[in-house]
Amino acid sequence: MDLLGHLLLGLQVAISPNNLLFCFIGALLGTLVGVLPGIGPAATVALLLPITFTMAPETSLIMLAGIYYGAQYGGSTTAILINLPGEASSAVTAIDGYQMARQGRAGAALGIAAIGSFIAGSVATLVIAWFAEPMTTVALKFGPAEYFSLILLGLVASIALAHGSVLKALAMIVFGMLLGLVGTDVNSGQLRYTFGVGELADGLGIVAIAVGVFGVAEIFRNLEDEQEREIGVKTVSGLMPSAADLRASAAPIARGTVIGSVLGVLPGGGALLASFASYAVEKKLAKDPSRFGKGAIEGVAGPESANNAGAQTSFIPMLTLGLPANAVMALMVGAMTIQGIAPGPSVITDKPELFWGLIVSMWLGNLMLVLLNLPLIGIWVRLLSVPYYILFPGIIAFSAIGVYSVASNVFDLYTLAAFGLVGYLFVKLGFELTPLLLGFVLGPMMETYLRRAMVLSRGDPAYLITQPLSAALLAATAGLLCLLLLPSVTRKRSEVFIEED
Amino acid sequence: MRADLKDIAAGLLLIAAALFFGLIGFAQLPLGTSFRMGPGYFPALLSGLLGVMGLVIAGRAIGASAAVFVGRVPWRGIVLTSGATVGFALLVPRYGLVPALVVAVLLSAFASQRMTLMLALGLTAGLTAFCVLLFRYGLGVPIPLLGAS
Repeated sequence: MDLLGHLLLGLQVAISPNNLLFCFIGALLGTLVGVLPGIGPAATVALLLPITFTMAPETSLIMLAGIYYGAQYGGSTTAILINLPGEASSAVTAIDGYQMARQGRAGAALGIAAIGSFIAGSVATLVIAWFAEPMTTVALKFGPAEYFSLILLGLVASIALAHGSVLKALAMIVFGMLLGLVGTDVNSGQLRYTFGVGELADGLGIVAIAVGVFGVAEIFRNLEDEQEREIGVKTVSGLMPSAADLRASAAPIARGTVIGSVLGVLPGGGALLASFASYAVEKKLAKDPSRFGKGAIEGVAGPESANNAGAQTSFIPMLTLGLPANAVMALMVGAMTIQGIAPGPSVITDKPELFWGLIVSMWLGNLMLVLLNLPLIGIWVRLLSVPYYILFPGIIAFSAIGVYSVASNVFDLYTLAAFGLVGYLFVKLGFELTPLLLGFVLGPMMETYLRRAMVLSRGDPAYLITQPLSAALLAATAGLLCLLLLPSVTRKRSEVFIEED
Repeated sequence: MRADLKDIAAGLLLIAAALFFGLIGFAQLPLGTSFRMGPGYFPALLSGLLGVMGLVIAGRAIGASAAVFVGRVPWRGIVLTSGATVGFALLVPRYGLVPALVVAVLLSAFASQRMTLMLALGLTAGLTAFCVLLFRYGLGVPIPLLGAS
């Protein structure tokens, strides 16, 4: 089947009333949590996982993906209106977007962000459709050694953009992998680390862990410093950018789309990197770079397009290789596994309706976001002023019900409480929590592939480097690690993230 | 002597986790050989790695300039919020969703220092009603409203 045929198949799936509805619900919920303080897309996706178990797999993934890119939109809104990026990747938008808002041009900034994001999202959707087949053709040739090395590369790449210490992020991956081993060993049937607790035979619950570290621990962090959010902009008018604004933004949107589409494919959250890169490019190309930081519309148009394109194309490694780039995608991999679908290159051939339906739904979802969010902006502005202390009892109630509804298992609730505390302790000691979840999801897969590779080689570890493809992947991993641990790069990374905070 | 206490604590925490997983794995799980990896093989590999990382993090912290150790810790919020989850866990299987929600929302509401009694009561009533409508009637989550499940 050709590309057009695939997209048509996807359209058929995505346009079914049920899928359209859940795409809309996902995008709307995503925008909501992107705007509200203290709850992010990862915790939301984790909370909704139990509800999706009863849905068709494509419906469930369509909704979860909607939450992911909806949150990107919501994050840009808070970045522009209150100088607080809801998502890390909209940090750059806050620089010029907030200045525009202070000059009374919030409407134009929000408008151009939405238009740029939509154009970028549409192009990126085509890029995914284009890339998917060649990627999976390569991936289907992978044996266990290649998979082991590939997951290793993906994990190391995923921390390239983690804040702070690389070593600490690596340690979190390893700790997450150990947590992933709790339960019944699939090979021998032996129980590992269960301490006679029957509930642990199936392993720790991914919902409880994810809600604990991304929901509950985040509440503790927000309670450290209870402040009102100041909203400089109470009303937003003039959402349609002027002709001059559109002219000035056309080229940045185009460049941002290209930058985002390329960088997004890299495993490891390309959206964040893409928005930084786009901002730097626009500043360099501008006739008068001093306007940047003082409300230049190019500084909103470029990065917003780049981060949306990157957010879309970062689905490529997840969909074609089963490699999640961030916490939300790790949870989507978890959702697929629970639905009985093995994430990886076989998805596109075995479940074409799921694959192409998801891709087309992302385009539809972006369209809905533009059509709905611009008129709804008044509501989002009002939501910005909801005080946090009213919100978090609700987050706790939803978390408890959501976690308990997975299996009506009280043990999951204790896991939730424990991982809230563990997550907060780790944050306090300077650890990131996303690598923990990635390790938790990918650890058991790595063990399986390593075992198979060792059986093939009769126990010779050198097998991993005598297979040419696996050797190349391992070399890339080693190269990346050296690069990350290099003093000059370490310094550069900390500069970038200081700017972001 | 100067030392970065935060990183020393971080390193020690990792070492403790490594010892926990490593020692229990060693005592309970057969290693096997690299050809036929037993259930203890991968855990041993990982806990070894984690231990080394912990040592390096703690080791590098000695002599490093001290970072802000922990900053403020919202003890009251942590106790009340965790208590809310545990309270929900204790009540929901025996008494049902409504009593569990009332306790969880009331406890977590007072985690914030800005909460007032009237607001907390209103919030509890509103949130409980909303959750019952959404989860029980909207999504059909099979948790009884009152009574043991």
